[in-house]
Amino acid sequence: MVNQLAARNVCFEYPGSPRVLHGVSLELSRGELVSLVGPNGSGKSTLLRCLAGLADLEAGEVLLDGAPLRSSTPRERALRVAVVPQFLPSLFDVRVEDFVLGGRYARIDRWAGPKAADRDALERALAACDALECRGRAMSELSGGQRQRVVVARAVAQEASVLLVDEPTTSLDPDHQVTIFELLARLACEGRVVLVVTHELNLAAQFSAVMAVLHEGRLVARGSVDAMMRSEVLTPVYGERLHFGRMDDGRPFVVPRARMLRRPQG
Amino acid sequence: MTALGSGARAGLAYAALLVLLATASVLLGSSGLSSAEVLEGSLSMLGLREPLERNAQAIVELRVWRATCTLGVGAALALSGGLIQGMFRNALASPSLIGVTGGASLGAAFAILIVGGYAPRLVLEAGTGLDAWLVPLFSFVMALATTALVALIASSRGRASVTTLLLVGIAVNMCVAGAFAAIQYLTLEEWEVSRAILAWTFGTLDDRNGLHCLTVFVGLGVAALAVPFVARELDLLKGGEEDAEALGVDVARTKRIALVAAALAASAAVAVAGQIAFVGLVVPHLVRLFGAQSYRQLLWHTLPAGAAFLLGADVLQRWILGDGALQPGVMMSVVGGPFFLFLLVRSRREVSTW
Amino acid sequence: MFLIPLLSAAWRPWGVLAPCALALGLSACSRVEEASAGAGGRPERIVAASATAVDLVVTLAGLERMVGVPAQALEYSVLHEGRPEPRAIARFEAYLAEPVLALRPDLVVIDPWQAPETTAQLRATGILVLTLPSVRNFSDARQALVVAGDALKDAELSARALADFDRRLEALRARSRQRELRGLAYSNFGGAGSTAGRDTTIDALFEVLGIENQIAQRGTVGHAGISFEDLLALDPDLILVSEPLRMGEGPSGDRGGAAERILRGEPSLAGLRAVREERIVTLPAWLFATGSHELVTAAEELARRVGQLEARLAERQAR
Repeated sequence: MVNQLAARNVCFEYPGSPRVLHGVSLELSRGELVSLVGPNGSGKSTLLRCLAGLADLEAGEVLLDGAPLRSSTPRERALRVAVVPQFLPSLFDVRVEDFVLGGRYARIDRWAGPKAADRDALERALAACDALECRGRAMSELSGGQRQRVVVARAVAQEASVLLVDEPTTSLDPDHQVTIFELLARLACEGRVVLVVTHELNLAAQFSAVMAVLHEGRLVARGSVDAMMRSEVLTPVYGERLHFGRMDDGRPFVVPRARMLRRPQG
Repeated sequence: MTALGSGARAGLAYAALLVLLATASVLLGSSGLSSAEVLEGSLSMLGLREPLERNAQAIVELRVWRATCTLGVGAALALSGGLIQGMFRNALASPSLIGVTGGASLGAAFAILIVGGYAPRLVLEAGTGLDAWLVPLFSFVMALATTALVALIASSRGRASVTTLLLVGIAVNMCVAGAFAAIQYLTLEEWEVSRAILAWTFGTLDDRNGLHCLTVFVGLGVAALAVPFVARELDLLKGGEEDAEALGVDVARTKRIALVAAALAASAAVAVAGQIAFVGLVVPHLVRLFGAQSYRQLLWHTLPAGAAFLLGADVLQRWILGDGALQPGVMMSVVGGPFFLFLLVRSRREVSTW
Repeated sequence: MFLIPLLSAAWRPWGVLAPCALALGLSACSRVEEASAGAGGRPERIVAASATAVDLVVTLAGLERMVGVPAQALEYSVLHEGRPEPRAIARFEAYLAEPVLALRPDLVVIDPWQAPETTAQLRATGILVLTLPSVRNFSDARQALVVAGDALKDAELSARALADFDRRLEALRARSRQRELRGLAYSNFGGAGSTAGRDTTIDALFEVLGIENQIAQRGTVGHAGISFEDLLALDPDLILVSEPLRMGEGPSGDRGGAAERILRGEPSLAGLRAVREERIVTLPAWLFATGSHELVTAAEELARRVGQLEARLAERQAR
C-alpha cells in the first residue's frame, strides 16, 4: 500500500458529454517508469488529470500511499505530485529561473520568499534536465527541446515523489525525444513514481518498465513491454496498419505501415 | 527589472516624482494664490504655521485634498487594473469589466435623483443632511453590489471560470448601462438633474475633502493588503488555472481575493471621483513597459505609477488649458486612448501572442 | 451608450431618414407660415409638449383649449404642483408620436431641442407643430410670446399678454438700479457644482435687477461647472439657488434645495460671505428654470427676495 499511486475504479465525465473513463484501475510503484499509451481520445490525458487529483471523479478514487488524493489541498498535493503539462501558453514575459522556481511554490513561505534550499533545488533541477544554459533567458527565447526540458525541470524542482508527464515529446526531433525519455527513466530510477502519457510506442518500449494501454476509456492491458508490444494487444486498439518487428538486440518495435501503393508504370 | 533599478532606488524616484507632481498640483488653481501663500497654508494644515485668511486657507486645503485624492484614485484604479488583468490573464481587461464602473454610475444617478428631490418622502427624509455624501455612498455600494452580482451569477459551487465571469460581466454591464440610460432618458426634460447626472459620468476631482481622501485610501489600503496573497499566485496563473493548481495554488481562493480587492479599490476610486477610464488599463502596461513583468513586481509598482500617471496627466492639462481644463474622465479618455494605441503599436510582439 | 440610438436607427434607415428629410423640408418654412397654413381656423386641441409651451398656451389660449401636457415638464411650468387645475388635462410621459397623436391635437407646441423625428412624424400626419424660439433673455421671451400668439390665434389674449409682459418688464427696468451686489447662480446635486454665465436666463435675471453676474464677467458663456475653489475666490455677495422641485414634499420645507444644503454644510465653504451672512437667495424651481415669458415673473419674485435681503443687510448694518 505504501509508496504507490493507485487509481481505483475511476470514472469521469465532462459535464454534458459522454463518459470519458469507465472504471479504470491502475497501480503505479516507485522506481519504475510507466508508459500510458492508447489512440487519440482514449482518455489518457484525462486519466492523468484524475491521477494528479485535478479532477472531480464521477466514481472511484485515487489513493496516494493509501490516502485519497482529491481531499487534500492543492498545496498538499503539489508537495507530493508534480505534473508536466502537455500545453502551456507562450509565457513570453516569464524568465526561465522564475518559471522553474514556480515548481517550488508549495514550499516557499509567502512572507520569507525563496530560501537557499529552493535555490539549490532550482540548480539541481536545471542540471538534472541539462538546462543550465537556459537559466537567464525568457521562456519565449527557448527552442522546443530546451523548453520541454525546462518544463520538466520545474516538475523536478517540485521534489514530489510522483511525476505525471503528458506527451513530453510532441514536436521534438528524434534526438531530443530520446533525451527526454532518458531523463524520465533516470528520474524513475531515483525512486519516483513516473507516469508518461505518450504516442511514441517505441520510445516507451525502450525506456519504460511497464506499459498500460487505454482504449475508449478502459484499461485494456497492462504489463511488461514484451507482453504489450504484440499484435494481439495493440491491433485491436490501434487498428490493422501496424508492423511489428524486432531490433538487432531483440527489443520489439512497431511502425505504421501504409497499404501497398501501385506505382504508375513508366 | 534593470529599468526600474533596485527597490530602494525605485522607491526614491517614485517619491521624488510624486512630491514634485503634488507640489505642481497644489500650485495650480483658478484663484491666483502665490506659491508662498500655498506653502504657508499647507504648512498650517500640519500645524506648523498660522493659518491664512479664512477663504485663502480653505482654498489651499481644497487643493491639498484634491491632489491627495487624485493620488489615491490613480493608485487605486491602477492596482485594480493590475489585479483584474492578472485574474483574467488578459492585458486588455480593466475594472469596468466586472461592473464596477457601470454600477458606480448607476448608484451616482440614483443619489442625484434623491438629492434632486425625486424620491418618496421616506427616502428623502433619510437622506437629509447627506446631500454631499449620497453620491459617493451610493456609487460605492452600487459598484460593489454590481461586482458581487456578476460574481454570484458567474459562479457555480463557489467556482467561477474567467470566461463565464467575462460574459456575465458584459451582460450585467449592459443591464446596468440600460438602467442608467433609462434614468437619463426619463430626466431628459429636467435639465438641471439631467445635467448633474451627465457631469458626474465625466468624473471629477474638484471639491474633494478629507473624508473623500479617507474613503479612497481605506479602499486602496485594504486592497493593497491582498497583494501578498495573490501576487505569486497570479504569476503562476499565467500558465493556466489547472497548471497553477498542480503547482499548489488554490485557484478559487486566489480569484476570490483578487476580485474582492480589485472591486474594493476601484469602487472607492469611482465613488469619490466618478468614472475615470484608462488608468486601470494603461498603468499596468506602462509598468510592464518599464520592465516589471511578474505580478509580484507589477502590483506594487502600479500604486505609485498609477498615482503619478493620473496626477501628472491632471497637472499637465490644467497647466496647459488653465480654466478650460477638462474633467478628469474626459481628459483620460482623450489622452489615454491615443496613448494606449501607441502602447499597442509598440508592443506588436505581445499583441500577436494574445 | 451613445451608440444605441445610432444602431437602432441603422435597423430601419428609411423609417428614420424619410421623416428627417421631411422635417428638413418643413422646417425651411417660417414658423408663422406653418401655423397659418393650417386649416385656417383657430387651433382648438393644443398639446403643449414642454414647460415653456405650457406657460405660453395657458396664457395665450387658456386651459380649455389645452388637451395634453408632458407629466415631467408640468413641474417646471406655471401649472406646477400647488396650482389649481380646473380641468383634467391628459398627461403623457414623453414627446413621442403615438401618445401625442392619441390626443388628436390640431396644434403641438414644442421647444427647439425636442426630438425632430417625432416632429416629422406628427407633421407627416398633417398636424401643425410650432417650434418655439430658444429663450435666453427677455427679448427672446417676448419673441416667443409673439410667435405663439400668432399660432394660437386669440388676438385679444395675445395683445393682453404682450402688453402685460411689456408693462411688467418696463416696471422692473424703471425700478432697476445698479446694486452693490456681485453674485452667481449655483446648482449642485451632490456630484459637481454648476453655474450660469452669459446668454442664459439667469444672466438676464441678474442683469435686469442690476446685479453683476460674476460668471458672465469671467467670460463664461452658457452653463458651466464651478468648483469650491472658484466659489471661494469669487466670494459672491449673493448666491442664487433653486428651491427643491417638489415643495412641501421635501424634508427642507421652503428652504433651498440640495445646492443650499451643500453650501451650508460643506466645511471648506463656511468662510463664504454668502454663507456667513445669510446671503443665499432662493427661487422656486419652476422660476429658476423657466424659459418662457414667465421670466418676468421670475424677475419680479427675485427682485422681491433680493429686496428683502437688502433690507435685512441694511438693518444689520444699522445695528
